[in-house]
Amino acid sequence: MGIYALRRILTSIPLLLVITALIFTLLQFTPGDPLDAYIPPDQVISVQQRQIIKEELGLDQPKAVQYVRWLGQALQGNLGFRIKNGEPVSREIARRLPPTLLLMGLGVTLGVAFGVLFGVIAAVKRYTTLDNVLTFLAFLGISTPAFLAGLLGLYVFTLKLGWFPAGGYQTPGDGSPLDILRHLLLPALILSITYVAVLMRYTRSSMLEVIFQDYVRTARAKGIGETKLISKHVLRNALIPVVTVIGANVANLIGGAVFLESIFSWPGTGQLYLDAIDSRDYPMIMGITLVLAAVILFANLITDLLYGLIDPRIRYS
Amino acid sequence: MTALTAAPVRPRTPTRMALKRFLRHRLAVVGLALLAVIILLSIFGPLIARFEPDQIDLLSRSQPPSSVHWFGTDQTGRDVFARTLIAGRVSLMVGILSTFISLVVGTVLGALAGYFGGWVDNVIMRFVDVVMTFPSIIVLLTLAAIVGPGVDKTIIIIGLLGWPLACRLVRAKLLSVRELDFIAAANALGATDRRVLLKHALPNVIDVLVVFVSLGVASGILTEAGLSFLGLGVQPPQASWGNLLTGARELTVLEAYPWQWMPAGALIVLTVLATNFLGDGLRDALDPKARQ
Amino acid sequence: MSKFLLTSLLACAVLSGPALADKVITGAFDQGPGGAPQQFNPLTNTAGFTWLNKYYSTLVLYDVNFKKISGDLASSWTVADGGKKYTFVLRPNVKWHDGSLLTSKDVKFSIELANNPDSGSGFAAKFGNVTSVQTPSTRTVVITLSKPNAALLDALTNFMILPSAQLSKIPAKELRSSAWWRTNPIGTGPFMWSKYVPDQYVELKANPNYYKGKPKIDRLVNTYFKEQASAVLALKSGNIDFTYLSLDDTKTVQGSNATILSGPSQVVNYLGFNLSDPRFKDVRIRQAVMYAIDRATIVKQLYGGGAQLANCPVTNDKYEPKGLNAYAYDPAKAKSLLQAAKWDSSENVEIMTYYGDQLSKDVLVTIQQMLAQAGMKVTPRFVDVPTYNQVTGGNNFAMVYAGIGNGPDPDTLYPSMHSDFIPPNGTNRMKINIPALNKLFETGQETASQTKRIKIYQDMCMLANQQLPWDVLWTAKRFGGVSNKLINFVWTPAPAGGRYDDQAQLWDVK
Repeated sequence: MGIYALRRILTSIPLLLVITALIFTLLQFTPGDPLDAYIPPDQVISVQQRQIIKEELGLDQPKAVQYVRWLGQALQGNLGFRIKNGEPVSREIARRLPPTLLLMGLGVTLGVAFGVLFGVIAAVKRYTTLDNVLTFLAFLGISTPAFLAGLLGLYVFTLKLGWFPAGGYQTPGDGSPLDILRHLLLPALILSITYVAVLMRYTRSSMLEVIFQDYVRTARAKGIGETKLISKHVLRNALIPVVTVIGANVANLIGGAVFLESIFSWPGTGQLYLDAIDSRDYPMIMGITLVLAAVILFANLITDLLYGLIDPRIRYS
Repeated sequence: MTALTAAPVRPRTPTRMALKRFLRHRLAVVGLALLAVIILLSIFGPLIARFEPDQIDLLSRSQPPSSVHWFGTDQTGRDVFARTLIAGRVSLMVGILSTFISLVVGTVLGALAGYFGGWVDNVIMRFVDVVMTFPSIIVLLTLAAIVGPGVDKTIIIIGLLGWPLACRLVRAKLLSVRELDFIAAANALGATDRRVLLKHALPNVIDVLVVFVSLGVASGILTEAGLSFLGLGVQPPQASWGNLLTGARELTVLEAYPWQWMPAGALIVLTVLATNFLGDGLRDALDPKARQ
Repeated sequence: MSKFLLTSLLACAVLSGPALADKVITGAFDQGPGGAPQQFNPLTNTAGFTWLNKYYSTLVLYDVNFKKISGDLASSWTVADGGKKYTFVLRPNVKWHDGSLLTSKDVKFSIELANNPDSGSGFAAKFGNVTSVQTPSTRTVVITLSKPNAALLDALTNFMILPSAQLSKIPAKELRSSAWWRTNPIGTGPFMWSKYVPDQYVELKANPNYYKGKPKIDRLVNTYFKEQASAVLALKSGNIDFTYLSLDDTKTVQGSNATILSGPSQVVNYLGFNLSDPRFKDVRIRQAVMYAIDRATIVKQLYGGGAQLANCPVTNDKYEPKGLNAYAYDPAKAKSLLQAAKWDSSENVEIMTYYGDQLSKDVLVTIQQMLAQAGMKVTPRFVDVPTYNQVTGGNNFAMVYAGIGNGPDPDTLYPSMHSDFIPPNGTNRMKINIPALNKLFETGQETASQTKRIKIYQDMCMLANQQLPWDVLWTAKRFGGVSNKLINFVWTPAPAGGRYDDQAQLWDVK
């Protein structure tokens, strides 16, 4: 397994190259360049000024040169500077990571915990009223668009009930962990809804499928208790799709909570991404893509390794 | 006098048995019925509606539901009932077609990777990694900016971004199924790879795929809603459930004109519910070992 | 002994009274079209001046009704030599936030910096005629122009004076995105920089040495919201004290804990045509579009009456002459004009816009229907700013729906309507090329006499009304919401924010 992991890591490097090159190419076809974004429609700027800014940002070089230059710098750990305000890209990303990790961390944790729990309950108590109610609630969770859930949540819990602040990461002047937690809870809860719903469905479905397999029947016939049965035999196999789903959602971890970050003014990397696209900020976009791609490749590797752990029948050549 | 021939007995084919199992699953039947109603409404509803979905009437803006306008009117006086129904055509098309694309591409690639393993698996999975690593938002935004927004482009983009999950699910299932004893037995008996794959392995994959489809259609509809929120997807004046729902982005509309966005929202929920119940029923019906 | 100490301490505590809580006003000052969130360089900014005004100052300012320009950093000024020489006398004893005195050197430095192409400032276009800036004394500045510029004072109302001592140390090229602007910048305004948490908020604290008096509140916070709905919700739930409101938002804020402020936006909305496209060369087509759109109904129904019909690019009463064609709604006339101009009714024209708000969507959809009834098929296309900029910089577009600031001084329309400023030289994106119009703008800028200027712009209005380089539609009101807890709060919409005296030092909280 160690060799497998090593091989995966090595093949990831050309993959990252391909991804960054592809994104860079896509960007060249997008209408509008950083200058068009930087200078508002009714600002007068002379040709001379425009040229100066262009040279400074390196935009006057041919495209291939721009990419290679970026790549060279990236390999040395320098992701360049943001066009909008000249801040180093790596610092901007790093600054947005803690809030992102907090939001995702709490959201996914709540989602996995409740999702698997409800899934197991629903599978064990299959076809009873409890199962139906849980299933129904799960569907409701999956079928509500994120931004609607966010808006409604904000409206009900902040405006009408006054339980939470109206978005933001902290209260200006405060910033204690408790303050941040107060701001974090509502968006994290709403974020977890999707995960609870999805994971509950997958857990229940794969548990149901496993529960009827022969080896389980044999174990039951051998007199092994229901709880031990479920935890030891059934759950492990049922977790395969669960692990897949969590792995698949890693892409969302950094770029995905865009809607919630927008509505709750949560300073995460998702919004950073949208901002970068809006301002055609090439260094920013490339930087985030690189970081995101690396994280996802890593997560995929972990997912696959976990398959091996959960299901000993899976062998990697 | 006993009859010499017994009364004709209808043969119990697997299909018939599956159908019987399906019909016993109440929620699935409800789901099917609901989906059928929604699809029929979307196709024929705008024909029975009293108003054209694009007909503007500035003097009847934002009116609550009444006997004239069954779901009320929107900010330019258009009939919400007609618009919601015609929006259904767009949203359903996006959901179904994009999932179809994801399913076909993902299953083929996943089956190849899962069964053959080795370098085939490696290459395909790296390809999966590339696509999955592309944050869908940047691809959606960039492609939409280049080719322009629109229903057809939205379908293709969502479809092309959704296949990796199907691929991974199919592959994972096949990885475990491949090791199961009956596959080894079939191989020992001389069955060729392809026959074994198709005959024995694929049916076991169907239950996972069925869940994928039901969630995929829902996800397609929801992604379209998200795109509308970002200003892409389906553009006004064309209606989709997603861009009707985006009206709730204004606090006034969210609070004071709920009839403008709730029908679209409710239909999204109902459609997703229906597809999921349906998916459940299909899985139970098709899985030979399922019990009622 | 210790008992005595304890009692006396307690006595001190009781007698000195309870500690006064910090007075804070929190608002979303960069929300809405006049805002520029997280952009702190006053030389390169084209918006966000409401916030910049709180810690920087300008030489002169308008009053809140935009009728008169008064001195702010300048206590008085004289104009001589036929409008080519401006002498400003600076207010005495104005201190920078670091304690040093403001001198004429700072003014000279700021203007020269703007004119330096390396700084990338949009003010270079406005100060293009400045030949020299002299500082005969520490409180006198003399600006000499090559040609008179009657709009110079208007341009100076949002030109922030910057500290030469600090900024001269930074090369102009690096100044554009220097970290100086967001880490302890120095200004002369009523508040000074306190804290900046990127992507979240900026905080200013009171400047005790402010020349108009120490502010009544201690801190001023500007929070950033990505979603307008979240800002409105924060206002309604009492989390913030002020935000920009759209027309629809005012309906939900009415009757709550906040009051609605409104004012003219000084932005005129128009339908632009790519005038280098042969399809639109015939003025009858542009006239037909005017007649086909029932502007009065749109204003009444979609804007709820909160907009005024505009018949030429300037909407200030004094610049509108008598006898303008009101292009009243006449669909039959529109049809016949289109036919006379041989408009191909199978053509489907794209109207591009960078607006994305619900009201603009409703307006465009309505215009689409109205034009269809007259026989012209159009399709709205909603794009973002970079796309709009790039496309309109070139030739590959048909029509646009846009808005342009047209006040308080009509000279602000010059770069968008003069043929010298066709892209890439400027912002005349519709490629307007009317020699008579050029002349009017040039003379308008150079004429010092007020009465003569009014006549010139009236002529410009009449010409635009007849030749329709733009199909000007209306000018709308804009709105803000302020919490009822605030006292003396002043705000009025302005295209880029700021430029008027909002007496921030008097703002207070109940």
